[in-house]
Amino acid sequence: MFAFLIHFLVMTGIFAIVALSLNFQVGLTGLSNFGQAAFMMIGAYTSALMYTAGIPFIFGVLAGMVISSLFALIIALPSSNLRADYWAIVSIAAAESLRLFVNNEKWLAEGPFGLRGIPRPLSSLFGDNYAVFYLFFVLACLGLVYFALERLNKSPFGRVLRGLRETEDLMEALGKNVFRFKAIAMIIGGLVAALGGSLYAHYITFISPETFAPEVTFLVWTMIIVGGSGNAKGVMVGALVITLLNTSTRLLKDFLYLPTSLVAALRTLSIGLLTIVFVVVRPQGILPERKHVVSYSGGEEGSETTMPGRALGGGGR
Amino acid sequence: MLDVRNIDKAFGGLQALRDVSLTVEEGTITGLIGPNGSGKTTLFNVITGFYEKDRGTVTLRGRSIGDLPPHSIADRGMVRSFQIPQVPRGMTVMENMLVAGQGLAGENPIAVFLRGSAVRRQDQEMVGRAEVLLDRVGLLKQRDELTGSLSGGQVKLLAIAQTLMTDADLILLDEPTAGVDLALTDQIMDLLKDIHSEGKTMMLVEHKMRVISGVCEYVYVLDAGEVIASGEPAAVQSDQRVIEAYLGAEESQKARGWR
Amino acid sequence: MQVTQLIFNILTRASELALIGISLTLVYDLLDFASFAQNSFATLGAYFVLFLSVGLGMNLIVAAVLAVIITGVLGMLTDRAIFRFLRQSSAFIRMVASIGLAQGIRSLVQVLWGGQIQDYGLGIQEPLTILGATVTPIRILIVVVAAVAMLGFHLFLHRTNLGRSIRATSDNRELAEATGIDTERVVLYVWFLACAFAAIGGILIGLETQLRPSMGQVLLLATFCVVILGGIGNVYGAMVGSLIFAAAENIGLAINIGGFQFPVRYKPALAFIVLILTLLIRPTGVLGRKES
Repeated sequence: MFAFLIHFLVMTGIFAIVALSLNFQVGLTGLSNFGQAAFMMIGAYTSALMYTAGIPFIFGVLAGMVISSLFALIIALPSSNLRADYWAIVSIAAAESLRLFVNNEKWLAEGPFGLRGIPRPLSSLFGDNYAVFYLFFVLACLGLVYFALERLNKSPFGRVLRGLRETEDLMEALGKNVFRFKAIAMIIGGLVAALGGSLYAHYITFISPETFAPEVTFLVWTMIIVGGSGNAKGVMVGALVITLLNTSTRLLKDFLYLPTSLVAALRTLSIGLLTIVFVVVRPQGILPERKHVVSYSGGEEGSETTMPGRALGGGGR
Repeated sequence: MLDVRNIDKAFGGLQALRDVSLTVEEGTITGLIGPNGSGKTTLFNVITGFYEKDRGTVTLRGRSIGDLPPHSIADRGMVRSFQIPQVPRGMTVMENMLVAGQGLAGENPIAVFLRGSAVRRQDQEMVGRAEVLLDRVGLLKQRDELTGSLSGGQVKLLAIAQTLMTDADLILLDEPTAGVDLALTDQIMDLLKDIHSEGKTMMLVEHKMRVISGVCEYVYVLDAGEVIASGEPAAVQSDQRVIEAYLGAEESQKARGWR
Repeated sequence: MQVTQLIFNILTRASELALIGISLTLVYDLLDFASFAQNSFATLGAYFVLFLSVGLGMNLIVAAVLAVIITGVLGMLTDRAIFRFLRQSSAFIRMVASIGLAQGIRSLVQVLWGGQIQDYGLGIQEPLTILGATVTPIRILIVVVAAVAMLGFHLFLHRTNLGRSIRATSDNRELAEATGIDTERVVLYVWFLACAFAAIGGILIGLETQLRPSMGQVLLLATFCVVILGGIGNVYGAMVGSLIFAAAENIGLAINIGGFQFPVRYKPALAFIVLILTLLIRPTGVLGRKES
């Protein structure tokens, strides 16, 4: 039971990181990025391959972030002034093409067979208690990501992002290079997602192109819709709820004697239904986005008033 | 200050602007009037870089800005407001003002972390400036309200305050008093005169003759994409061609069943 | 490769894509959003036929007709249950809802009929040789059915009252309302049509290949490509777009310049390339009109 709890928390932590990354792109900037799984894949594969090759863990992770930044740029470049649905299609297409590439080019990373036995950093130090150590490690990363992204959100940079979410033209008229801001938002989201991917790879120790199918992206989207798009705490709650749903149904399998594939399908079904229910009934999520009150001292306090019905940016047009 | 020459702009088969030229002298308030659909907002969009012109030049203080994207033009000191106000509903009034600040170090994400205290200090300055401007337009009390909760008139005031926040020298306002009641129109007129007296140059697109005669020093009249008259407000208002243009527009709208 | 073979391959591929493409573009046009669910409705239609014909022993054609109708009705139901409440929401939210719906339908199919590969039990087909091209009767059927469906749709749009109402609502919704057209009803019928078309498309694909829960979704990129290429919101655009896309696919894969050939295993990436090119060169599409 304890082991399950640790596992659940680690997965929650990892997905919370990815959810925060997607929130930064979707919730704050209004970019409908449906290719997040690809960024995770880049981070996962890069750090796995590099660490296996003997390069220090941190460099592998950083390299993954750099490559995902490039990929983010590739998506942002042709898409910048496209509306939300085009962004969605282009990002899925790009992600799937990348996945296809990794799957086909066996010399790169074993293609469809994936990478097994990915080494875990510092595993020799912790032996049996590794999972607990890893949990703290993930939570530390999560804390870092949370504070960093929140800091950006409250900064002038974050204001421009939130401004171009709904009113791109206004931002341009006020002298902001909208394309640059969108590209940077994609890059930041991308490299945080890559971090999530790396953490995933070294925990589960097995990854393949199948691991990063579009379903993963949809899962993270459900997290931000259910949790509250535009609210960092909200999407973390969303990650908790969805991961709970995900992992507990795995437990159910042992009690209900249902075939694994059926349980998996039921799980996807309930997540799809959850998305629909929330979109229709409570699009702002469990914790809606809060308005930013700027105090005179230049810092910020959150406000008690939550914003009614403000949900899911989706393109500044 | 602003020199616009021989602008052509067509959309598909429709010629929206035809050989339009105008000049805005530094320190003046210039008006741009014309019947609905005459191309006023299109001209604004071309001048501020939102539309690409088919032909012609746009020069600001002697430097060509005709091919620049809107954000670069704003950089050069010319800002605009929008006919249908662009209101980011998810942001507060104060944030709307802060976002209008120019040259903010905090807009660089790296600077946010590496030069945190400088960014904070700049933010503080901006807040101070914003409060002064908000007070000026009478929106200080609403500083922490979401812009979605503002009335139509308040939104117009906020838009003007935003342009002031940018510290631009040339301000283009697209129908600053559209849909606004009489009292507020007067208030906005006084505000514009105030801004003018501080040395700012302005160009307004307007429908209300009161505003034009009360505020503008020079007026251009646009009809069906062409400049048909220009001069001082009184002269232009009694110009036969202008009267016909407005009447003609009314007639054709009646014929199309719009009125 | 023989030219006639190439043409026939293109026609077959275009037929499958065009029907789902029309489904997509109808929803785009009248409901103003990108529905990721149409491909799943295609899957659903195919599986209904499986259930009715292989499961219940019905005649295949009867099963197909029934399946199309059932899927169409289900489309109407999803509008009443979901999208009706999102009329005032942004197109983006409707799109997100459709993504949830797509996932839901796909997993429902898996729950009900299992994830294994299945087929309609038609057995191996004897290929015929027509004008030098090797074709199976099934593939001829596909092209014929698709052509008939599209022709029928064209006639429907221009010769029937409902068709006229749909075109009017598509052109200008307020004006249509003002002239007494019940646009809510039109929307409902469009959902029926869109999902019915998707079902036909799915059934044809199932006839040619096999059934699996992901069969509709794997075509997501291709169908969106077809619609964007042809011009969003234009049903004739979807037809044209599918021909161009199928041609690009087949010719692109057949080209052999000095030994360099586009690798077959990257066929899905072709859709991505066509998409990017379209967006860069002519984002409104070949017959494009509606741009928000």
